[in-house]
Amino acid sequence: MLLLLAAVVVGLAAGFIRARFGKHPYQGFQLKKIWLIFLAFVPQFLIFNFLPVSSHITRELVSLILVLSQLPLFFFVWFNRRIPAFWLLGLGLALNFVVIVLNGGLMPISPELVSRLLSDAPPGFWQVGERLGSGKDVVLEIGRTNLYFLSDRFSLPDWMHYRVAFSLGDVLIATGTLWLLWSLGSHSKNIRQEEQ
Amino acid sequence: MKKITRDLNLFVLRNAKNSNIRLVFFLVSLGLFIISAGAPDATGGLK
Repeated sequence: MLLLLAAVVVGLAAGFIRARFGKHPYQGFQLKKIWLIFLAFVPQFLIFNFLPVSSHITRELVSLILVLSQLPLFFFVWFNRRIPAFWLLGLGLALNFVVIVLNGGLMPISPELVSRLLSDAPPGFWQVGERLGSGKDVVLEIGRTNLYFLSDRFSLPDWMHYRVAFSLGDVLIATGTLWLLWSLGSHSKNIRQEEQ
Repeated sequence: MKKITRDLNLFVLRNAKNSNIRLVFFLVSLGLFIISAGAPDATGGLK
């Protein structure tokens, strides 16, 4: 999540500076079909963050809800495709979706990376073939992972002291976010006039 | 849900001229999108 948060902070800062120098207002786009985001977010919030639900739900159901909840996001991206950055956000979404679907409905991560990131985890906290904690990841051997190059295989350098794994899809989503927030500081009248 | 977000959207549009509500609404929507679309970190709830 740090990667995405960093993209938001940097994109906002860059966009504000761009708007200030260009003497334009820093304005959000009018997004279409926003309710589709909530259709994806609410179920995911319930199964990953809302303890009364997340502590009782089976892995199979988590996988099913995770996969199904991504579908409204594709429609959301499609309805907002007039904004160029949404093509990149959509591509990142698609890459994450494909690797999740091809690996049983959860995002794969290798045991080697988990060992490095969770070196102080209590014994038995994670096991190969099982879901990692209460998140979206499943620990899978590299050889048994479909499209390993799209999985959660990247991590930050050790000197940053922040334990996080992310995928190529996450990188594209972060880049798309940065681009989108940067573009808010531009003089893009054409898109905003369409909205009026 | 569709009706709630549509009403919220209309409220934002009505109030957008005199405030930054529209920008905040946009940023919140974007935030929820990237949380839902992006895979989270790998600490599995340890932190």
